[in-house]
Amino acid sequence: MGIMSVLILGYMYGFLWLRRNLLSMVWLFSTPFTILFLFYTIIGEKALPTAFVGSYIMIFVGAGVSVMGDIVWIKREIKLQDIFVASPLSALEYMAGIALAELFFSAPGIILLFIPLMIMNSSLSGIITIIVVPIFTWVIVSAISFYISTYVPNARNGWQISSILSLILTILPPIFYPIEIIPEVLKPLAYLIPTTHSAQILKQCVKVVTLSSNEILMSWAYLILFLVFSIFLAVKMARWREI
Amino acid sequence: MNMEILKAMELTKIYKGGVKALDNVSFDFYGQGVFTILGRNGAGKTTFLRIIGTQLLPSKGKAYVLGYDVVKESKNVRKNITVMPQEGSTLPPLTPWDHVYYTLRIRGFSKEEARENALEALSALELLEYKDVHADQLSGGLRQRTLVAMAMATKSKLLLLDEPTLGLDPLSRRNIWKVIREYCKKYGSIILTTHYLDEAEILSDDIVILNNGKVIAKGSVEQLKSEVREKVKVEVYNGFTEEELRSYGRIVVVGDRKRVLTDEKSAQELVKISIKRGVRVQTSPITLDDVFVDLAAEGE
Repeated sequence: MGIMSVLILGYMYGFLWLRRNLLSMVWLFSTPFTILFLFYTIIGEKALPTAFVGSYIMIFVGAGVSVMGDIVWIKREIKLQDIFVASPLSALEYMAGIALAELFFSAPGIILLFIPLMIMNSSLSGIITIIVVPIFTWVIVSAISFYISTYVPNARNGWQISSILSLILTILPPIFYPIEIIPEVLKPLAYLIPTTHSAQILKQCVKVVTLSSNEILMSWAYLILFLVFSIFLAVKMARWREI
Repeated sequence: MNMEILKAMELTKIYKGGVKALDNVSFDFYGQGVFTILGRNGAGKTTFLRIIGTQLLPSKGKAYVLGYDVVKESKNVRKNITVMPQEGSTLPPLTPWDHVYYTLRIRGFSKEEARENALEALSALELLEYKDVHADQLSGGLRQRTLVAMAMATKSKLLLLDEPTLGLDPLSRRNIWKVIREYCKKYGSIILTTHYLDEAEILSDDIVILNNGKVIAKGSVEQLKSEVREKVKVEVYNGFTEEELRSYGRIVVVGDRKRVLTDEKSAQELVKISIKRGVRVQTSPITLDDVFVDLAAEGE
């Protein structure tokens, strides 16, 4: 068991599926690229760096949020999850496998957006940031999605809740727009959303905003805190076995 | 070989909302073979199987699978069992081969082992010619057989199959029965649920009958049959009053028929009179079906 099981589950549920059903791929990156297109059309070239960051984060959030809909579907509709629960595979391995599968669906969009971001900051630290921040974001969202999915009673609710979660994580917080335009009173709320910090770090990385080192450190600290908390939720609080 | 396969002690399950699915269920299965949990829809069979399969927590009581506590030692239970859920389905663009082979790989089987086991299971379930067909192009029966193959291929010490032949045609059902018997000879035991009485009668080494969440009988097919004192049944469709029939034996009403449980001599007499009256009757030895109907009727 372990990493090999995760990779095989991801391959089976993601890569194999994608190879035989290309529509799944288009679906996951259609929204981020539509928003990117809208920004470019309405505001023009100067909006592109922010829109690249926003779309890039949105793709990883999309992959994470899809974990919820898919897990609820596998559990409630096709009932294959019971086979995995009653096997040596752990909840964390199962979640990681499904999350990896969702990442396969997003891979083309990720590569397309990684290139312009890398051009904007091609230093080693820049590239590491452009890789690590979205991975943290994807893990956080996947773990939260998995946790929620274990409490969702039916597939329809799964899709509905995942749409709301996606909205909360990508449209409402300052991903596609600067944090400065949020009213002061709402700013603490924005900082409670992990993607706010992902966006701040990436915007700084590609020089869209200039943040103090304290602000950057704080965003990293928040992101790591969210990471630990979300994994705790998935491992300790998710309802792997029903009650 | 007298290994403890399952031991349930006062197992109770009350779902949120107060529905009592299991009520102090206690019984055990020993040895290697096919063990059947028989009952009507809603009797508690699936709930019971999901508890012993470590997918659901009991509200009260204990259960041990292969000697391990299903709550406290679930990791050990999970290493030794494989489940096939009721009314499960397959992933649309994947093939039967993908389902069986990759499930084995996910469980930790090596490539060679997984390939060998997958081929063996697919062949036993007559799925080889469909092994590369996408699941959404397979019939319901073939998809069901794929799920059975996924379980069989693991060669676990214990398989828990929830209604494995549900929705299958008679020939496919018989093939699955054959595969189940062979599995038990070679690899381990199987606990299955069913509401098909012929299936239970043909396959089972030991049977538990559940009704409204309670155990109403347990034993081998022969032991259960012996619980009904009459040895012959005559099924009468019309042409007799209940009072008339009562003089020949005990009456159980089954749908539009009256089933008279009686001895050989009275059965012969009843058949003779029926022929004289031109009334349709059917006579046969007592089957598990009669035991079930008898016990379930008592429990109502």
